[in-house]
Amino acid sequence: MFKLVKYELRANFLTIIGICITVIVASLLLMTKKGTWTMAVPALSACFTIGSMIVIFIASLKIMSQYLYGDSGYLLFTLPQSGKSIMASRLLAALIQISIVGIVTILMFYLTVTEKIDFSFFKTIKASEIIEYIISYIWMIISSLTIIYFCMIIGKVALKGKKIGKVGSFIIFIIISLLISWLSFKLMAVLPQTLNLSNFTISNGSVLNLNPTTSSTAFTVNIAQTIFDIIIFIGLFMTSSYLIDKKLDLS
Amino acid sequence: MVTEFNDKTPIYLQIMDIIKMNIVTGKLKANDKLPSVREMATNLNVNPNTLQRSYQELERLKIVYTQRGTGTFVGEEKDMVDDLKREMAKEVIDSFILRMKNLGFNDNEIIKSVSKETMEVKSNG
Amino acid sequence: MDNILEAKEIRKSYLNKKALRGINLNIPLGKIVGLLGPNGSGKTTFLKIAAGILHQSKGEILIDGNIPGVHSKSIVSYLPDNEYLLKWMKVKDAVMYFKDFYSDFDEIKAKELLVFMNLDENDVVKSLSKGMKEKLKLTLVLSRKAKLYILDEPLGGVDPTAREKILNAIVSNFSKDSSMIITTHLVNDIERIFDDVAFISEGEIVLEGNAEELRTSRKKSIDELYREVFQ
Repeated sequence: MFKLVKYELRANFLTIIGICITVIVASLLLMTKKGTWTMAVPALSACFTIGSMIVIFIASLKIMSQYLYGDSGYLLFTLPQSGKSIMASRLLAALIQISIVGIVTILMFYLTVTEKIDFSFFKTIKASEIIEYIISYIWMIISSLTIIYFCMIIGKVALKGKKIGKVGSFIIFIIISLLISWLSFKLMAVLPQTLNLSNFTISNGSVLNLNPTTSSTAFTVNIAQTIFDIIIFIGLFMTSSYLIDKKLDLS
Repeated sequence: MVTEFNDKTPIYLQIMDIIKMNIVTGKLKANDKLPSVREMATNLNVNPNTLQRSYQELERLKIVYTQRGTGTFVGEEKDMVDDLKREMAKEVIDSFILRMKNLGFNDNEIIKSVSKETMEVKSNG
Repeated sequence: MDNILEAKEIRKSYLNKKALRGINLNIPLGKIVGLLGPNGSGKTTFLKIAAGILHQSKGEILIDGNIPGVHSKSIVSYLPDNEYLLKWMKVKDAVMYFKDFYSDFDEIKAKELLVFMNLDENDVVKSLSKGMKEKLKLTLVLSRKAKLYILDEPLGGVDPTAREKILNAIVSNFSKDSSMIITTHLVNDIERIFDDVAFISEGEIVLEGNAEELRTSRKKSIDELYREVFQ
């Protein structure tokens, strides 16, 4: 599986570099305009940051689409690699690619926008908070990609034709996202127990339960929702792997 | 070496003919080693199993013999070359007679035309 | 004799078309089989099913006794008809790729074949001509010590001199421990390397047999037989 990741990263190396360089150059240009375009600089910089993240995210989808509908799939799907290995390597490679772009663009945003370079705020962040943010970030990327990849694979397996398949995937994605959100919401209402991951206490999440000693940045999650999300993720991942192994037909 | 095979008749027979010819003309002498199946197959761009069959048939006809692990060799039987020569000549002659008869020649006419043609070839050098 | 490929009543239907209507084919080890037919006859469809990237609608296919899957992909070396090489790679990258993922890949043989085919390690796939890409694809596929080689139109789009080289590489690759199934519509060039041939038309095998026996019984070359069958 890690060999697959290696080749995925090499294949899209230029895209990543391209995005990073574009953002760096654009940010440098903005920095020169710091004095004159006071309103526009932070706004534009934010646009570059968000824009580049969108671009790399969409590129991650395009790569999967090319595997499913294009010629490069012939090379990948004739390898003696299981569906799980292929899914896992694609998710891991996407995570790495998005993270690289993310780090570069956010750094550039900070450098463009800040008045003086001061990294002292790093001292005020707790280690546990950093871990929380990183885990949430990884979870967000991996779970959303898994859902989308699942929909793409279903679209390819169930629907014949490139256009129909892609449109179908999109529709399925909308349906599934809504379904998951709705179920998630319902679960949260029925089982409101939350888990505070900073001090591992369980509270019943009632809005009236104001505990002044709890830090407002405490990382609390709804237990039922989290378990549900994890089950959904595992389910979609395994189903996608199964479909790749047994049902995928390359035209 | 790309030999022009006639794909209408079994290739293994054609290969046998080539080898027999080489023996008759002396290109291959008694106890000479024939190229390996693989080597010959690659040279001729022919299926190795076909080569194998040719060699096996030649062995059955006692024209070649195989030594396990060493290879296939031209047989050393005393009269083998002469027998082969005669056999191949008979094939040529039989086919010739058939074709001449198809043209309408009778036996005497066939013999006369052969004498005439061989004389002419001699005098033309 | 152990069959490396056993196909029973393989059918493949699409919404508007029946690509395969019951293919029965057994290939023992040590044979080179030609699957001959015009475009659209179903030969590529059948090969893809054997390669594991397409799944039959009905019927059974076993590769070395297994359903097509991860194991069969490790013993099957498949040459597809289309351009599947990654364009960003150099020739040597493609060799490394195969080496990384296939434990039966023979790097030394690959290097020899590259020399034989006049391919430069440092050329980028994108810059290669169609004929050179075909030669590279074939180099990669034949450098594996697979049990079953599936070659879909290995001579397509290649000039006659290159064809000789490709045929030569295929013949010298032959071994009693493996088999090949080759499709082509250039029957004339390739017929003498076939042990057996199967003619496929509109999803069905209409004639099959040993090539030499067919030559004896029909007094025709396989190429002539092909023209006769596919008038």
